[in-house]
Amino acid sequence: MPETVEPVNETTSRMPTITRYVNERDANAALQNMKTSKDGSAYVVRFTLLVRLLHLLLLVAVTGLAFTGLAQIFYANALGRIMLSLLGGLEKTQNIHHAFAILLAALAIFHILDSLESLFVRQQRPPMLLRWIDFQNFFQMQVFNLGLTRKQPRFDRYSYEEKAVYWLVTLGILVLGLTGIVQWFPIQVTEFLPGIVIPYAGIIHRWEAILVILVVFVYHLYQVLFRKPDGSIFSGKKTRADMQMEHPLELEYLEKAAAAAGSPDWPVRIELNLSDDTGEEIKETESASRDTSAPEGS
Amino acid sequence: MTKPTLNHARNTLVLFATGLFILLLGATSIRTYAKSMNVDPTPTPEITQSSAPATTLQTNPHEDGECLDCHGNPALTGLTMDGETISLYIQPAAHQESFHSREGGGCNKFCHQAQATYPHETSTAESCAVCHWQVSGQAPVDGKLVFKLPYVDARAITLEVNTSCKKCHVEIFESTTDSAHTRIMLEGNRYAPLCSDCHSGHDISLVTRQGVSDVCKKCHLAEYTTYKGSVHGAALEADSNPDVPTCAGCHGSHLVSGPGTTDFRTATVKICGDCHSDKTIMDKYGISTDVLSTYMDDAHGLTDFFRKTNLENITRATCFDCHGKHNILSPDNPSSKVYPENLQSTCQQCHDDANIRFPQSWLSHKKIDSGANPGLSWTNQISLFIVVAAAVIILALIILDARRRIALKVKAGRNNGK
Repeated sequence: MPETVEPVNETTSRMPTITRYVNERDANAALQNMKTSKDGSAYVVRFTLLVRLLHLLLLVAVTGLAFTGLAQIFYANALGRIMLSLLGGLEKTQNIHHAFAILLAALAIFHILDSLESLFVRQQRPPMLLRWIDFQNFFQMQVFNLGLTRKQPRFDRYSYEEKAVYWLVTLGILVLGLTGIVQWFPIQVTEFLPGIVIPYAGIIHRWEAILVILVVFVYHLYQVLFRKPDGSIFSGKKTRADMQMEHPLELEYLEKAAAAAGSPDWPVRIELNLSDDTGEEIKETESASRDTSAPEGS
Repeated sequence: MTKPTLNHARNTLVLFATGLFILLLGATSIRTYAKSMNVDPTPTPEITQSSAPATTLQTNPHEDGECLDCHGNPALTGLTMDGETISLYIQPAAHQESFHSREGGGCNKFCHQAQATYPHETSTAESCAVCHWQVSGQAPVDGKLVFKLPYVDARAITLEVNTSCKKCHVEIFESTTDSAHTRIMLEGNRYAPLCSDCHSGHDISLVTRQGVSDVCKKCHLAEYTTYKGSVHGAALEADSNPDVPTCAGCHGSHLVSGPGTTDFRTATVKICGDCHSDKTIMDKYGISTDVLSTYMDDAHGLTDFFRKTNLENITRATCFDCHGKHNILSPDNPSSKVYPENLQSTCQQCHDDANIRFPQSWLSHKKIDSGANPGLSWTNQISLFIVVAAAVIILALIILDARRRIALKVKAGRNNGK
């Protein structure tokens, strides 16, 4: 799907926009996913049951691997020995580690196949790919955090943060998987590779694991738990208000796509605003008028 | 008042009776005490060995405790019930120089209680007849004075005498109860080593370092021969090197755990590691002290670490699996199991299908940051740098984000208050 950034009206507005083309299936899906709960508040269904289940399994696998892995790295340490004795010794720890690794491998294979299907069969625009706009958003966000501007970026389905976590973790898991296999099956690996790859695999596996643990258990947990608890990956739902704050571009897309449902001509062209509707100012009273207490989210 | 008068006659009688009573009491006590000491209360005149030959064999002039009267005679021989002939001659000097004689013990005080009295369980006439053959007419056989012994064989005597060691050497005896040597004895092997097999019977002394090999090789000759050719054994033989382990150094002396047990495999890491991680010893020979830590960090050693904490019982490779047991040689020696060209077959002891590339994964006990493999140490350094940089970036981003949120919250709070 082509995506262009063009100014709507060069003389009257400096607001850049994105053009998207909506097909019938996506319009109907958007319509279905915009719901209203019993108490009247609008919400969006962002994640299907399957996705939520897979994320939960991923969480379990990564936590298990991290725990059993750290216990093995720090075996000489007092803390490591406590962890190992909890797990029942090194042999059992290694077996648990392998078991979780197999689970993670299964999840990874499923995810790869699912993504390929999404991309080629359902012809959907891959939401997680890094685009130039993400780097722009990153810099703008940091400038905003430093208080040097009042302009906040508007995020699509996945912000640069979520994409960064996704790619660091995914590539990390790939590296960990490969180096893990080398260490787990040294005889088979040395059938066609020199034996020195095994110590290399050991070093890389250990450091990559620490990196993934930092990204997931420090940054990702800060992002979804500490600054503002976000349970949408488990419930699948996000309130419209939260969507407006955190993923306004996606919300605009969903609403415009839902509005286009029932149209006779497909695809329908819609425009999404890359800047806030009012231009550059952020209302200082926003945080007072909104029902959530946290300031602008990303 | 009348003056009391002394009845002289009565008093004298009483005094006399009392005296007699005391005398009888005393004599009886002394006699009883003397009898308990196995000493004839009636003193006999001194008779030296070669003086006054016996003319009659009915009275016994030899005192109990004068063992060397007979056992100092080189011709004294015993005949066991199995028909085995053993010498009963004891060299006086041998016992004199041992630890025990310094303690002032007689032969029968600690060890030979069965032979405490003379004659030893045979009639007077029989005992005397053998030595005093001129009187009895029993000629010596082949120049030897042969006594029939009430023992099945020589080993039976040893077994009996060795029960007395534990009376004084309590702790050492208790430490042997779990020993492999005790175990094979209990399984029925009468020739399993006892105290006197290693420490000798009469000239008892501490076993020297070189002496350890001499003692153990009596039964373990094959292992000794191999050990003699090894790097440890050769050094011990050459100049009694104080740094190398003797048989007892690895296997223990009194508590000898069998080498096939899992306990021994576990203990090996400490047995080898204690010396091989000690810089003061290893520097003399140019041997790296990284061997223990690199083994522990490696797949082989990780499990051993936990065997020490009794968490589980696994038989992964321990020191001697790769380096050999009695045939330990320097890794530079082409016959060594860990000579680079020999490594594949060593690895194949456990990794059946290891190919020629497999041993390349072993870094020869060199630490990664030692620079022995620059690629590895470089990778390690770069990875460390990347992870630290990532941690710093993550922290910075979190701080920036959190700061802004908190600032805005504070601002909103102030706005709400207005």
